[in-house]
Amino acid sequence: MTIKLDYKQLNPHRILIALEGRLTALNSQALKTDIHTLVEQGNREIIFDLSGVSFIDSSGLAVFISTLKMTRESGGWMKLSALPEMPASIFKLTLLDKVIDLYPDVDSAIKAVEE
Amino acid sequence: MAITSVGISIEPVILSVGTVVLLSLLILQVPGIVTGSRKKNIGFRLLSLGAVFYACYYIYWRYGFSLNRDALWFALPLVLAETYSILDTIFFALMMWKPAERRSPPPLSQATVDIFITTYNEPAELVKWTVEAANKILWPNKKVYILDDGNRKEFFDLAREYGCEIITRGEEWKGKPRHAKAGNVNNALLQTSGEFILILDADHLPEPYFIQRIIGYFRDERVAFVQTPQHFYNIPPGDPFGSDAPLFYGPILKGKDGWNSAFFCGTNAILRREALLELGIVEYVETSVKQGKRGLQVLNKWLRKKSNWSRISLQAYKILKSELKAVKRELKKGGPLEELYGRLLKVLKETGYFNLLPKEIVSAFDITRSKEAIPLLPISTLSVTEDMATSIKLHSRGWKSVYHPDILAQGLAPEDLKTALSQRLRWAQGTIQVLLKSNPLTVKGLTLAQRIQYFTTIYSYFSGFATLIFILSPIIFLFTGLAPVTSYSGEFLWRLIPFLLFNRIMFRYAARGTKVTRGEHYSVALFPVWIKAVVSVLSGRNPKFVVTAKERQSGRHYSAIRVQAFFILLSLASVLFCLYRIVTGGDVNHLGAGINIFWAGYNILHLFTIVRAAFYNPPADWEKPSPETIIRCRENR
Repeated sequence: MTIKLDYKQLNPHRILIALEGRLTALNSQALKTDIHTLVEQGNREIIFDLSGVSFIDSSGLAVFISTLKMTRESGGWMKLSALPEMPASIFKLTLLDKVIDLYPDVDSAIKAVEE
Repeated sequence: MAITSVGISIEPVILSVGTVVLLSLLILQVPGIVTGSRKKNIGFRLLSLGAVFYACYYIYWRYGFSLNRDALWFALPLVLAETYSILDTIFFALMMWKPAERRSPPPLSQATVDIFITTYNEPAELVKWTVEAANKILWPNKKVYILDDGNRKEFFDLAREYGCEIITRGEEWKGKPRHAKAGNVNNALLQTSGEFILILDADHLPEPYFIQRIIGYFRDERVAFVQTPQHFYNIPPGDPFGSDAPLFYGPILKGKDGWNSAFFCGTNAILRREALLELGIVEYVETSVKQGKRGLQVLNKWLRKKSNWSRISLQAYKILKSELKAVKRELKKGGPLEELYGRLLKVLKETGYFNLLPKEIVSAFDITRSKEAIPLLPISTLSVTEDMATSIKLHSRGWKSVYHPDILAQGLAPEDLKTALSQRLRWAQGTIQVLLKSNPLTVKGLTLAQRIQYFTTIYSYFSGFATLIFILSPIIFLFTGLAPVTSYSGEFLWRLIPFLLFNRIMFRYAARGTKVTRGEHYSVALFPVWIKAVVSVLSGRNPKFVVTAKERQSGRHYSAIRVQAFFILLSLASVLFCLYRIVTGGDVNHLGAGINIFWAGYNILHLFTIVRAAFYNPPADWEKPSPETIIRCRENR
């Protein structure tokens, strides 16, 4: 079971990562490694487009928390956007929505960071 | 002072009813009282009702009618110690009321399992057998990982030789708290992906069918972990150090399992990754919220301090105050911390406060947990007994647990008294830490039964104080003739004896089929360890996680038994002194002397167990089985 990752460079330090598929324990390690490689390449500002994600489990959430830590420690940030209703429920269940900002769509996330 | 009803004394009636019930149980030959798995516990329930009834009857009489008011300094501590024991009886009866009987369900065939072998300083020569046994586990979707916290070269070679993975702490751990075994497992959890995790201590050799036997329990999607017993293959004849815990890994955990309160015991268990990570995330959120709220409080305090006023302009102060109010308001509404803390930090920087504030205030608004190497700590780091604290958290989130009583792994027990005692001290200290940091009586989300079950375990570690009083009481009487009761008479005996008999028979019935004598002796003889654990933790000294030595430590360990030896000698002296007074015609209450000599003898017998252990040498013809022998024996089965 794989999760597809596409990314677009928005500026030298900023990328938009679009994910597609089910984000579970089975693929979260591979995804984490890919994202961390991108951060190590200097992309310390990350916006996620999660509109193509149909399911996220706790291991998937752990990827976002690790990425948040990694980007912040590199002097950047991470934003999550366009999360469909189904996977959003795990954010509510674990109360993670109390910590991490969830933007309704990619544009509002970009607007927020530009402000 | 008899309780009467219509002028008839009812004590003999109660006594005779008790005797009849006891006799009938004996005639029916305990434990074969009733057969059939569900009905089996009727015998225990009858006995426990009898024990609790007589316990209440006895303690009611003790408080109401028998306290020696001329020696309250002696009478009160004793009656309090007795109350402790009676509550212990009640907790035991509740625990054993409906023990779970488990049978392996059909395995979950597609499950992926990561096998974690945790090690810190154990030699590669020992760990290699655990790796070999783990490789031999019959399960297609498994991956074996050595979690080497010592980052030793020979373990990389070992992993290569056995074709397994190795995980050590990375650069991110430098200068950060390591959290001992809990940190080691958490580090690996965030680098692996199996749906389930089998945790093994470095010396525990799993059976080939370990996963097959218990993975089926996870068909119930709310089951977070399945615990199996710890069993040791190196225990010398007679178990001199009381390492075997058949009561705990038998009736007690079965009893707790009946209330969905079985513990995770740190090894020989399979855990669901989803449950652990959920726990880690919830803990991350709670800590971030708590830390931020505390940060706001401290920041407010700092702003109120007059000495800080001159350091910043009034305008900056006003801007920050109004932002603080807004953040507090939004925090109450549950607004995301990332945004709120971000806003606050921005204002702190713009107003010039950022560089003036103490670091701990600023770091309170950090949601990346920069003080920690990794952001998620699923295995609790609150206590040196990380397993119990993790179980409480899982249960409080509504997860279920299972205790499967078949022995599925064999490990090494401490081989000398000093190591055995330091292990018990760590367990006790960790359990008391749990009471302080994650009190099961107040943690949100536990059921009443779970609260009682966790509290029962914590409560048992306070027994050292009661034991000390029970040891001192006969000594005081035999030396001074001073009695804690108004009189030693038939009245006293006919209340005490049925209670004691019921209590003993109930306990023995619950433990049927398991050898518990050594464990009972140790629970008394270790009273200085239990007292030390309680006092050290309550006085704020934080215990450290110590890896239990896997080899016999050389030398005699007399210093470990000083207290017990002192009380043995004192008890003996008190008995001899009292006998001397009787022989020389002194004024001695003979019934009182008889009862107290009996208790002094009982105490000496229990305390002597540990003295014997300090002098223990394995028999010359006893050869300790090697891990290789255990594995080869399994192959030949």
